[in-house]
Amino acid sequence: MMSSNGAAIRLAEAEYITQPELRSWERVFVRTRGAEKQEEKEAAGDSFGPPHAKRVSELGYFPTYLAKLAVDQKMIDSVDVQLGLSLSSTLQEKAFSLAARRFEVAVGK
Amino acid sequence: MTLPVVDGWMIDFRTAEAIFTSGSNLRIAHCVSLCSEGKLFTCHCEAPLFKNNGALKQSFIDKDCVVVPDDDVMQRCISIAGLPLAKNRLGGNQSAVFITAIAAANKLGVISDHRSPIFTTVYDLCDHFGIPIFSANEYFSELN
Repeated sequence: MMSSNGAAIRLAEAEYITQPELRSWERVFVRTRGAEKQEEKEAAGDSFGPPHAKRVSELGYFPTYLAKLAVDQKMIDSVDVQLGLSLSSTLQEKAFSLAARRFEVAVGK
Repeated sequence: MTLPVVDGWMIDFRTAEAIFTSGSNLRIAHCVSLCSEGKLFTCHCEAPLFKNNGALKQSFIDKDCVVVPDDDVMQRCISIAGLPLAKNRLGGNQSAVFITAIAAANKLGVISDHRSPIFTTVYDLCDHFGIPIFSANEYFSELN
């Protein structure tokens, strides 16, 4: 979505599309952060707050999911994840859970 | 097996944190006592992690139990880091090299629970150089 949004902005800057066309496209396709957070809360339930979701969105779902698999298989531990991914140990459990849920849904597992 | 005669002990963050959150007053008191006597140290590269943990900060950082490498240690680090064994470390695991070098240079033993079936850890490096290394459970069972 970020790259689509960037491409749309560049098209507007290059005058291939007009500003009203860009805004109407954004209204349809670009979702606000608030809407994404709301969806996150709904998907995760009441016990999951936004800090881990924010951190996962910064790190990416795939790296977080891979870290979870490596920890599960005891290849690395919580401190390795903390040092390597800068994902604090307090957020790891929820972040791993979120990444696993999202990743497994994405690959249709 | 008994504990070897060494001038002190190095401990890594994950092991120290596990001990201090274990709820074992005996183990915690022993570590606090060793820190007070200047016989239990951590590596400078893990100092930020110790600073973020109140109990560990009080015992290690506030009591100046952080070893900063000197020239001798740095030379040993360069030699150790060049080994094929050391190159199999997980990226970012500098503390394994520093702890090994500091222990070798200062005749210290090492307490670490860090093990990995894939990556080289401080356990593998110390084992390679014949530096005494114990897990927390091994250390405390030998102590009793």
